Amino acid sequence: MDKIKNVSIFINCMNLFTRWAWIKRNWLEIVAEASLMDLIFVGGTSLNFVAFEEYRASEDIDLYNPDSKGIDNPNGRSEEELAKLLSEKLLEKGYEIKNIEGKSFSIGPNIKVEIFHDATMFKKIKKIHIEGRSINIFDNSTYAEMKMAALLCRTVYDPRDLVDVFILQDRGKVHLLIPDRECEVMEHAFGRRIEEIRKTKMQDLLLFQNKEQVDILPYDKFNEFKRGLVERLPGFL
Amino acid sequence: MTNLMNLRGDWLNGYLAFCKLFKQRRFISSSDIKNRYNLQKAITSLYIFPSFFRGVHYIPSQRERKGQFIEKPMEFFYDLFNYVYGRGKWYWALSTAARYHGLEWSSGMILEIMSTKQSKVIGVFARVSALELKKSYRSKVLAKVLSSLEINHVIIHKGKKNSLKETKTDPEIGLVATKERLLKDIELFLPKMRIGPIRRLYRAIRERARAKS
Repeated sequence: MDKIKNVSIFINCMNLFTRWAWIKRNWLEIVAEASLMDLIFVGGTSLNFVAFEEYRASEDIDLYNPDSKGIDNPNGRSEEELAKLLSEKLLEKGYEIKNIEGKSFSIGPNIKVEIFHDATMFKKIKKIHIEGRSINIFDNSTYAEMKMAALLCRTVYDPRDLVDVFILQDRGKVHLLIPDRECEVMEHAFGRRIEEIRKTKMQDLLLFQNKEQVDILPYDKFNEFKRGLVERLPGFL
Repeated sequence: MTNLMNLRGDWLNGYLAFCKLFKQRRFISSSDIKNRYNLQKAITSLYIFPSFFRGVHYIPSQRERKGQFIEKPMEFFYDLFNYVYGRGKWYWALSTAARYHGLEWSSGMILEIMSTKQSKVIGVFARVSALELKKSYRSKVLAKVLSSLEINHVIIHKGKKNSLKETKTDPEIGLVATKERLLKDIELFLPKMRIGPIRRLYRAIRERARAKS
């Protein structure tokens, strides 16, 4: 090992490590551009930057399309069309755009930007201004509804959803409701999902929270919340 | 022990002398230091920070030493793995490769690599927590330094030499598993992985890759 030449190469942009920092620097411009197309900023990144103080890392930008094209809305705009348009606008602004695939594309250091619409119609849209830019967001109750749906319907359980739901209740003081929709997991694997929620430990949070964020999270309160949720969930079905 | 002298003719053996002796190196072995300097002094005076490998030390820049942080965590790990395993003998794998390929975006606090030499799990979070509980100044400083890496786990998997052929070279981060290799590695390591959240992460990556294809 001593013979191995210890050469440090100059690396100007280590993208896997700079993603969160990159999103922090650029999210507002991206979301403001999306807001011009009436898209709404949603997902973990919006909760961390807009709704609450940063509590976990999130490496994607999710945008909700409230005017999705469909049989019931033939004059709407499809997510694919909006993804293409938004990527073009951001390219004009000098961003590096890659992998435009249907409803999503990658920007900068491979940050996924995804535009989606699901069966539920969310209407409580708010326009807010940050540093002179206007962006569209939802109220906390809508975010909670979306996050509860993610928590209970995502095919593979993701503890990030549980932390998000906890933050929404703890800091956002929202009342959590069971999502008003049908999904595979709730229909066929609800018991398994409740068990996964019950088994969530601090170790699970270490994938997406740094030490400071883990230390700040009131873990006893989180555990109490988790226990309460696990007790309440079976009663919903 | 050192061969440096100041203008008065006294031997220099402080931080300046240490830097001059080992300049332009980032990682160094205990034996390399011992041959030319007092290893114990280098450790206790925080001229070197421990790496996560026995007998391998990191030489911080003056800025890092004073600021008690590691300025470029990715370079730190990249150079460390090159030093320990050799250039071209390891690659970014599994969840880290999945993040690279845009198949994963929730696991920013772990790093996974594949080497042909050994398997090892480095619990950075646990180390920082343990250091924070200790009372010495050195422990407090090292806790701060390791926290600045912004990584909770480093997982090194032992793989076969052949898998190194299924990688692509990224000019910024070196060898990364191709998507095909990544999926093969997931199949290989999913049953072996004992850390529950990471096992779940592998399943989610596999699910997304299937949905994409």
